[in-house]
Amino acid sequence: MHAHYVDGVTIRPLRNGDTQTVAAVFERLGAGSREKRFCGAKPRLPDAELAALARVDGDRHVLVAYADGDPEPVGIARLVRDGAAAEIAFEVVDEHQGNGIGSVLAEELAAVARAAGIRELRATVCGDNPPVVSLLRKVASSLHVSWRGREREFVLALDR
Amino acid sequence: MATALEIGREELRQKLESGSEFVLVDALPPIAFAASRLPGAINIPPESVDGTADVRIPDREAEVVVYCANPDCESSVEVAARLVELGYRNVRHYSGGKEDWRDAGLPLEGGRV
Repeated sequence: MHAHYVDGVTIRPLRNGDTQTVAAVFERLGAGSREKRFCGAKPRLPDAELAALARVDGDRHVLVAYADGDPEPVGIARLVRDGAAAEIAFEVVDEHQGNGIGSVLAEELAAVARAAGIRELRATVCGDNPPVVSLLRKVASSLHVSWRGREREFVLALDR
Repeated sequence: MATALEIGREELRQKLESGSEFVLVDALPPIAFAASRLPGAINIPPESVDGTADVRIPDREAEVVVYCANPDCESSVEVAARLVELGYRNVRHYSGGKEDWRDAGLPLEGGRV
């Protein structure tokens, strides 16, 4: 579960407190991607939020993706435990979207979740976001969807 | 990559039960370590070895046993190899890991789940 290389993408765990990497990915997200990720306009990340997003501990795990030929990080996936379930979230920088990076991140994140005894993943999807919905369908053995206004909450059962 | 000698489940169990002095290292991410771990293990994932080994395992002569999830898990191989590179002279690898331990009906600590 350290650095993994899959189809031109290197995935490694974020070091606790590595705000620089989190900020680097955020800076490369376009306005539309930020809106989908954070369910609203997000012109900047306040320091406290940045610190929270870079936190890794017994309840939080974060993966970072690097693509061949690009020295900067291109994606992040986050897992936050809530009992035997966990909330997951993904972001892939605009110029690398559609290249399967989200799928690689999702597979790796699911492996970490299984190792952590997590049986269920939850993801909030804002508005229309077919790539993320498709990605979630690949990870789960079963999937339940409920609407909350413009947001959809996906509940995914994880195979052991 | 430097390698560490293998240790089997039974030998590890005996060491734990007899109270032998050694350091048991769980190489999984903190979120997995918090959920469950072998009794008495400390958590040193691969990305933390360089920053924490000196503090967590100050004695280079100490016996160290490293494990992670199962034989397919690479983190314990990386941690064990890095410890050997850093000068630890008695590093061993329990490749069966948490899965082998649990499948044998042996107890795990933790319980964040």
